[in-house]
Amino acid sequence: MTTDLVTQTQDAVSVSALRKTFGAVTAVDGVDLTVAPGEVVALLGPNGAGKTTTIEMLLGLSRPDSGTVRVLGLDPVAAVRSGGVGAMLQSGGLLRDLSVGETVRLVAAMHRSPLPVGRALELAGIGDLADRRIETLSGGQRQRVLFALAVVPDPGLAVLAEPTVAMDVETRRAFWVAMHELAQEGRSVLFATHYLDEADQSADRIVLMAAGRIVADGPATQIKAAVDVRRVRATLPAGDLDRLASLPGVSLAERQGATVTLTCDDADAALRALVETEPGACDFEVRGADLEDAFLALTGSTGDRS
Amino acid sequence: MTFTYLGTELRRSFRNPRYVFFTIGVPVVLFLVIGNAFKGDVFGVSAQTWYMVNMAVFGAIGAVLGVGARIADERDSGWNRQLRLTPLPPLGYVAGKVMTGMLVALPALVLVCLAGRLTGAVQLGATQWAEVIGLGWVAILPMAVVGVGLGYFSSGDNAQAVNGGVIMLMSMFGGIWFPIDATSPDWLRVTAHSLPTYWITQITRAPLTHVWPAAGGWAVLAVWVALGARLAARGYRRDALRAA
Repeated sequence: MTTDLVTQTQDAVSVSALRKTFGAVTAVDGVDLTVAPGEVVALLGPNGAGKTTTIEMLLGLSRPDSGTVRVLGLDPVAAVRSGGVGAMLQSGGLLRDLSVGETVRLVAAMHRSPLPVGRALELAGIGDLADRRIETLSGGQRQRVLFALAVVPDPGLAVLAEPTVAMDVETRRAFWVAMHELAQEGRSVLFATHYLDEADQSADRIVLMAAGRIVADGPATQIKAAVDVRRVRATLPAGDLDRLASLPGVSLAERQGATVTLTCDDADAALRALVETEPGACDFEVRGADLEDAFLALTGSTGDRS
Repeated sequence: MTFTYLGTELRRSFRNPRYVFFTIGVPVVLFLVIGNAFKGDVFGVSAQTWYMVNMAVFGAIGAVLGVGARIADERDSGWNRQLRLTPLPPLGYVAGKVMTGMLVALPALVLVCLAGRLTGAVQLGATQWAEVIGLGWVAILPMAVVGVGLGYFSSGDNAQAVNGGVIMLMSMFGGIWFPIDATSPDWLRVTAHSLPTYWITQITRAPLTHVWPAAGGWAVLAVWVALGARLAARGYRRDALRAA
C-alpha cells in the first residue's frame, strides 16, 4: 500500500494480491499478474481455475474482495471508459437484427479513435460478411464478430476470454494470425484458454492458473516443457504398480482392471523400460496428457479444483 | 457517437414488423374503423377528435414501451455486457433508449392525426394540429421512462407480454377505450386518475379543451416517472452485481 505513490508503471496490466470469493468458493485466491506493453500473455488453466473471474475484475465487470487492479495505469472501470481496452467475453452477446457492419460501426462510434470499420472486419476475417444479419451467422462467425468488436477500439490492451471456442480449425488458425498482427503493432494481449497448444504457440508468456492461484509464470517454452506430460497405457493383467512407478521416466502408475496407465515425464524412456521389463504387456498407447494431468505433474496436488 | 447510436436504434425499429404494423398501423386502423362509431361531444370536443387523440397516444405508448422492451432482450442476449466493455456510460445507454422511444413515438402520433385530417373527421387549424402533436409528444415522456423501467423489470421472454398487459390495462382504465368522466363509477374514476394515460390524453387535447391537469395530475405523472426510474436503477444495479 505504501508503494502506491511511486509505482507509476506503464504496464498494461498490474494486479496484486487479487482475491474474490463467491459464497464459500474462493474463485481467485491471491493473484499477482503483470502484463508489459506489447506483451502477449496466455492465462492457462482448466475450467474453474479462476481465469474468467480474474478477467472480469480486470475489465471492471466485477469488483475484487481485496487486492489492487490497474489497467493501463488506471482503475479498470476508468480504463474501459477511456476506450483503451478491447475485450472479448464468452458471455458477450450481439443484436440479432443488426448486420455485422452495423454492429462494428456502432461500437466503433463509441470510441474516440477507433480503427476503420473495414480494417477491424478484415482483421477478424469477416470483411465479406459486413452485410449479413447477425441472426444468420454460425457460432464461429459470431466469435469473429466479437473479435472485431474487441479490436475496433484500437486498444492498448486486448483481453480475450476463450477466444477460439466454437471456431473450427481453419478459423482458429486465421484468428491467431490476426491476433499476432495486433500484437506486432505494440498492443498488449491477455488471453485465457484451456488449450496448452494454443498458449504455447501464441503467447510470449504463459501464466498457469489452478484453483484460483497462479502456479507457474514464465516463457511459453519453459511452461510447456514443465507441463508436457504424456501417458502410456498398456494391457498388463499382472504387474506390480510400485515397480511400474519406479521405471525410468514414470511419475505415476495407475490400474483400471487389466489396463495400467503410466503418467510420464519421459514417455520414450518409460515405454522402452516397460517393453523390456514386462513381457506380458501389450496394446501400447502413448498420448499427450490433458491439462489436468499437466497440473498434477506441476503442482503435485490432487487437483482440488473448485 | 450519439448519432450513430440513435440512428442504429431507429433503423432497428423500422426494420421491426411489430413496430411498423402494430405500433403505427393498428391505432390508425382503429381510428378509421371505430372512430366513426362515436357520436356527439366528449369533454367538449367532437367524439372523433377525442378518439383520434386517444389513438395517437395509444400508438405513442406502444412505441415507447416497445423500445423499453429491447432492454430486456439486450440484457438476456448479453449485449448489455458487451456495451459495458465500451466507453458508453450506463446512463448514456438508458438515455439513448428514452430518446429512441420518443423518436419512434412521433410517427405513431403524426400518422393517427394525419388520418383524422385526411378523412376530414377532425378539422383543426394548423396551430392546433401542431399543439396537439407537440403536447402529445412531450406528455408521452413519462411512459418512455416507465418503458425503460419495465425493460429492466422483465426478461426477454416475457417483455412483450408484460408490455401488452400494461398497455391494455392503462388504456382500459385510463380512459383511452371509453371516456371516464363525472358519470363514471367512483372506483373507475379513482383508478383512472392514478394512471398516466388519463393525464397524458388530457394534456394532449388541452389545446382544444383548455382543460389542464390539476396539481394532482402532474403529481401522478411524476410518481410514474419516479417508479420507472426506480425499476431501472434497481435492474441496473442487479446487472452490475451479477458476476457470471
